[in-house]
Amino acid sequence: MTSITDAARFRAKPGVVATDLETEVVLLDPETREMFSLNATGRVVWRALPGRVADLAAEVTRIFDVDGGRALEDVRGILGDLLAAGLVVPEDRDA
Amino acid sequence: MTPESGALAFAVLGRPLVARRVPARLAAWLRESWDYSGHAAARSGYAIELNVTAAAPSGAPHAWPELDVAVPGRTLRFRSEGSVWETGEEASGLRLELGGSGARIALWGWEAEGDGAARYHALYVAMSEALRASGLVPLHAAVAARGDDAVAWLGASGVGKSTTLLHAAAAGWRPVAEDLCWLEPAALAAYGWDRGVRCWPETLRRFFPDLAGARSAPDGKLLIGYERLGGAPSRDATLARLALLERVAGSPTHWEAVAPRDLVKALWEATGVPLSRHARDTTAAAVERLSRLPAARLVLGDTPPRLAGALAGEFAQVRGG
Repeated sequence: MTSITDAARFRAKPGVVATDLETEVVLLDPETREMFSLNATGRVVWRALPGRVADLAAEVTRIFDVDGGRALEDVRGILGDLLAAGLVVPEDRDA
Repeated sequence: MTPESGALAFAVLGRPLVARRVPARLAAWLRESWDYSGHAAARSGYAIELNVTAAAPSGAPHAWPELDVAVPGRTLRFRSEGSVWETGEEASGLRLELGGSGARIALWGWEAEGDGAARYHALYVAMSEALRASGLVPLHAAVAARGDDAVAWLGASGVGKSTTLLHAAAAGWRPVAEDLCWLEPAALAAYGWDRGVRCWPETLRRFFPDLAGARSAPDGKLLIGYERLGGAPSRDATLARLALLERVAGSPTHWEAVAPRDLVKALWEATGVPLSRHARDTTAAAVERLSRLPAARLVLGDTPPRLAGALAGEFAQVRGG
């Protein structure tokens, strides 16, 4: 199981197609044909990839009026969902 | 079966296709599935070459990475490396090579014992990929036009695309496609890619008794030729609006707003995901372009949709134009 520590780095799985809807984003995995939509916070995280968890959270705090702790919690949740869907990969693996 | 001598040649939406050493049954399938000569598509330099041989090409089948491709009713296993895809075995198979200026399809052991239907499915995938590589995008939708206004009705199989198209035709719209059209994304030009409208007998009896006497299709549906639906014979149109179909029994048919994410997802389901990266980028650009058209959701209930008046008020731009 991948640990989502502050220092962990993630990137988008190669080949995933993103349609940016300005306030959200729809992701399509061409291998599985599955689609996944991200809300505004998820969109910011997706657009900031590749990056460290702490840096992604900093980007969220820069865009939205949330404190660092809440942003980290949101980013970990989003990355957990994206990992489960196979849409992001840790950068230390498959680099 | 006796192989035809010479080559079969025609244009597929302006893309020249040459097929050599093609058995008669395969030639008939190519004509039926890909020879729609009535469209006004511009000529293209992208050429499609198809060669049938008895033996597998050198090196085939390769032990390349595998990928599964879903087609109606089954899954086909392809192997790929770079811009080359193969499916099948040494006795019978297909290889597709996509290049910048053309596509080559090699078929071997086409008439060997085995799953003939799978071979035709594989060839359909290969031909579709060749057209995608040439810049076209398939769109599974019913399409109808009235004047300069053309609507694509998107939805899963069985949701009511054909019936909606028949209602549109009865309301004065010109039918363009029942289930599939090929799209030139830059111009949003849609070319109808079927031979008629298939409809369950009960639907015909209920809503369109004047169309009785239609021919039976193999799946038990009735096939109504476009010539019986009136209007101009042309089945080209420029898409101007999108309607997502949804079926909810027990309610009257009505229009609703559609969320951008639902529109994008419906468009990807309607276009499908191509094998090649280049075609995937082309399709993504087409989805992006299409998602900026005015769109709405048509919830099909127990009453026929009202399509006689101007529909402009039913649609809204869900994304910036």
